[in-house]
This record gives sequence, C-alpha cells and structure tokens, in this order.
Amino acid sequence: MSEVVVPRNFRLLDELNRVEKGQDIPSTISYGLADDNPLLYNWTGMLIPPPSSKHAGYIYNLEIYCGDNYPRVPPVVRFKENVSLPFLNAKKEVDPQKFPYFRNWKYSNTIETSLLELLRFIS
Amino acid sequence: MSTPAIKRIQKELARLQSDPLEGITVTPAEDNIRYLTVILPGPKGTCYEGGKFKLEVFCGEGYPMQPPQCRFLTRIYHPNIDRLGRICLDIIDQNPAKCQWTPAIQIGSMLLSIQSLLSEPNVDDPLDERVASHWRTDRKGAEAEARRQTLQHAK
Repeated sequence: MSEVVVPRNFRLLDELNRVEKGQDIPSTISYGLADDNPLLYNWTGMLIPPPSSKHAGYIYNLEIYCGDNYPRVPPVVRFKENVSLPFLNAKKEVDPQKFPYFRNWKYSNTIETSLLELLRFIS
Repeated sequence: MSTPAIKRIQKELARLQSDPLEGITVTPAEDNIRYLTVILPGPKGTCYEGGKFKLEVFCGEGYPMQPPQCRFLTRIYHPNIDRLGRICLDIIDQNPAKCQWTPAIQIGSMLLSIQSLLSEPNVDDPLDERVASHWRTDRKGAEAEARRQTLQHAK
C-alpha cells in the first residue's frame, strides 16, 4: 500500500469538522477557528484543567497559529494570560524544545492532541 | 506507488490535460498526485462570468469509492458555498448517508457539476443561510453582490 498524505488544508478542514460536529472532544479543552480566512491559519483554544489538577479553577486561553508547513511542524501556541510556566518563551509561546510533544512532533498529531498533551504536561 | 487509485488519477489527469474541459485547468501538486489545484472559470451569462476561481481537490484514501474533497480557495458569494469555500453538492457530500457519488463519476465531471452549481444556485439546500435568504428575497441584489465579489476576488 502506498501512503496517502492528507495535505495541510484538508487536514485542518478535518480538524475543524470534528469541532463543528462536536465529536467526542474532551471537556477539558476546546478549540476553534479564530476567523474566516480560508487558509485556516488562526485558531483559538482553551485549557480547562480538571479538579484533580494543581491548576484547577484556572482557565488558560490560547492563540494557536498553524503555519504553511503545519502539520509537518507543530502549531505555534501562545498563552494569552500572564502565566509563568517553565516551557514558555518571552512571548508566552510554547517553546518546542521544552515541550517533548512538540520536540518529537509527528505528522499525525493534531491541535486537539496538542492541547491534551499540554494539559497533561502542566498537570 | 502504483495502486489502482493512483493509476486512475493519472489517467484522469492525462485526459484533463490533453482535452481540457470548458477552460478548466487541473494541476497536481509536485509531491502529491492526489492533491490538485483547479482554476475554474465562472460560467458565461452568470454573475460569476469573467472570474477565475481557484479550488483545491484531494482524492483521499477512499477514492474512487468515495468522492474527492473539494473546496473553493477564492472567496465566492453563493448560497451553497460557505466562507471557507466548502461546497454543498450532493455528489461530493462527505456524509455517506447523503452522498450521491458513484465511482463512475470522474474529477472532470465533478468540476463540471460545480460549474453548473454556479449557474444554478440551489436556495432550498443552502450552506450559507444568510446568502440564501438574500437570494430568495432580492435575487437581483444578490447577483449584483456576487458580481462585485467576483471582480474583487476572482480576477
């Protein structure tokens, strides 16, 4: 079997489709498209740490940028609130070198799995 | 790499290039023959005339048993096409329960169907309700807006 590679735009449309249908998205995260640019660059996200987490009671709002090379490379994820977390750079973006899920990024990873891993990483 | 699906896509592309349909051009991506860029001229005598609309098509894992995915990259004002360029058309509906695709349909015939959707918007099965209601209540005004956006985005 030859490998079928889903190109960037259709991959992001699939991800959007999941959100729009509300298919089994865990309640600890949410995400969606930030504007109606057909090139699907800008997304927003939210981390809602569960009661068992030391971050319980906080909600983290995120800006997510999927560049032209996504999903060959991870999205850029920026925390909107002023939080101090060791894996953020000065612009409050997740530093891919300090977040193993981004450092070892795979094409099949998605915005959704990234947010879930991020939540696990801070918990 | 030469699965039956790939062979079929190659054959369809060869035919579309040697015998182009209605000014439609179809170009596969250099690194992915399943991923096509299409330039579709707006049909003559419609509010899309003169426009050159860019679309992208992906013949996924299920092709040709399942339809390609297809959407407009050029913004277009049409009741069956949404702001992200997604198209509501029975032969390419991604919901298997509603989809009228059969493997006998080819990429070329799909593109002709999309072109005829531009000639005959279907306001009874809209994707963008706001545009559809504009079409139902003020057809002339809606067509003028479509013509304006064609000039603005689809040169």
